[in-house]
Amino acid sequence: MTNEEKLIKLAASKHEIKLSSKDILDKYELGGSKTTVKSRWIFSRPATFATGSILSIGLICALVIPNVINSENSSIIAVDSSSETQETTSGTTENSSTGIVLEIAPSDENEVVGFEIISSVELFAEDSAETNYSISLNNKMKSKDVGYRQEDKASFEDIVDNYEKVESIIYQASNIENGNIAGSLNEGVYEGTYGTYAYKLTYDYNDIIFYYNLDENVIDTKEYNSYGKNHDGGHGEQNHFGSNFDGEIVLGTNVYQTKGTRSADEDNTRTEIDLRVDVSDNKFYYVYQMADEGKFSYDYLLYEKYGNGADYGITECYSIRVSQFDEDDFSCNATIFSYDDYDQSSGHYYSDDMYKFFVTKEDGYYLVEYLMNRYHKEIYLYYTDEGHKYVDAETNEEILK
Amino acid sequence: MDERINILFCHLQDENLLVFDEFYELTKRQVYFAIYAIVKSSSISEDIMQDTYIKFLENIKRIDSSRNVVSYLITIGKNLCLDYLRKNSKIRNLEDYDNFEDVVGTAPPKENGEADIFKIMKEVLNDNEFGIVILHVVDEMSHKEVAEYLGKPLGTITWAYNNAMKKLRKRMEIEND
Repeated sequence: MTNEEKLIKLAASKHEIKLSSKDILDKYELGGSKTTVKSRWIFSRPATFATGSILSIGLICALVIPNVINSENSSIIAVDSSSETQETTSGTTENSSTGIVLEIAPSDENEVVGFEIISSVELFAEDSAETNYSISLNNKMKSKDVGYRQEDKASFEDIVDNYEKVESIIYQASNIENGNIAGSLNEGVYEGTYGTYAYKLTYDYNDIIFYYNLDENVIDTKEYNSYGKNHDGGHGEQNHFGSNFDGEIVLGTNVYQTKGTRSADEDNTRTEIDLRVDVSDNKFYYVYQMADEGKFSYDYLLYEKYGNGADYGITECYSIRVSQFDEDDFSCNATIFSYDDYDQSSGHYYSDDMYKFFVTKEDGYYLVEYLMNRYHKEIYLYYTDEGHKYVDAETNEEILK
Repeated sequence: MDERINILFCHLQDENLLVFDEFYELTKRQVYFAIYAIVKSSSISEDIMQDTYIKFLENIKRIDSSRNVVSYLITIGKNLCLDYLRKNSKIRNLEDYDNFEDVVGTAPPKENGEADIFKIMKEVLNDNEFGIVILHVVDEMSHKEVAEYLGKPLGTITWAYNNAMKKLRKRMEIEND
């Protein structure tokens, strides 16, 4: 544990928590949890109340009224943005085009509504010795500046192209320390565009060169406990080794500055590589993570485009690979392109429409767990020979039929 | 401690509130810091923590006793934090106040009696980094658990954590000089 970590731990242990069990029980016996954090509610400020109210009403009208098809009981409402809608018995509507608009209406009537996701999910299946599935998803916040995202498509595709190549280099970099390198690694003094480097790694592609400097050290020694477990009963200490590398990747005539970290636990059973690559004015953040179990790995690309205020956008690309070497051999590739809002001033990613995908295989069908954080709603997308269906993870009811 | 928490939990399920004080003492620090990691304010954390335990008590009959109780509490706390932030972030989009962050508590709140290291963390780390460090160091979550808790990719967490520790180290060196 580092000195900083020790200091933080010590401060936390001395931190006074004024709330007593009696306070909680008193309030519980008085009738529960309906009150929350009132004092900081901005609308309690008289000066802001009027403006805020007007803007809120305007926002609700602009965002919700044109699209919402209400459902009396269900908290999920699906509406169609571009094509004809058809109401179903469950109170949802289906979309006959590839675009599906999901409106998750909060059950609490007092909450401000205004959230929409436009998703299109396409599944491609190819019959071969190894079944491969590719899943792509697009999400947009309709209420925001859609045009910006469309304009961004071309630059994003360029980056994805590069990403494919960068992936190869990083895979090689992941094997530097154990000498398992398929490409050609040289040590010396190499002048790059942005600095001088000690290593030069050339991979199969002639136009990819990775110059870098390596700084190896133990980055972390931690007692690994399970989440929520008694902190006295951990699984023992384990060193976490790491390498910091900074360098530049040369792809043909393009040069990308990079900074990265590789970390692995003592037994080398889990390896993570984080790499940040600067691409002109934009940045993309590449993470390659792999576990030595040989069953699961995924790549992650985060492309950030800096704009002003509301135009700030992030594109994420996951490439997930799952493979199991038993009778049920399969590999599953999922590529997910997503757009997410980001509150630049607070740095909160999870503010509104963060979502996650997990791809697994169960009993002959692929299960995609789709978690939308904003309403903590989990949706399963099943893909079978008959097609795919969405299921509310909580109620197990099919939605968006 | 886990075993004791489970025993107390069973008593609570049997509506024996006499054990709540001990249950709270054993669990409060983990729950508190999981909330504090997101809202960064002691007073807001305590408000949310109070609602967390009340929601827990209200739903206690429905909680599967085989589940990790602390993990359940932390999940309730996180959801309440997100509700809180969501409400405030919506408002923030509507108006631009110079001191708005102080009002909603997303900027480093100035709190009395706070340890120096927390003050420094609020100064040098952004919200993401602050939360990640608290969850990893104080709540002893692994990076993977932090990623699950915050709904972010593991790589983002490890990256941000390393950056945060570098920033803190640098700042501490300056403080010590």
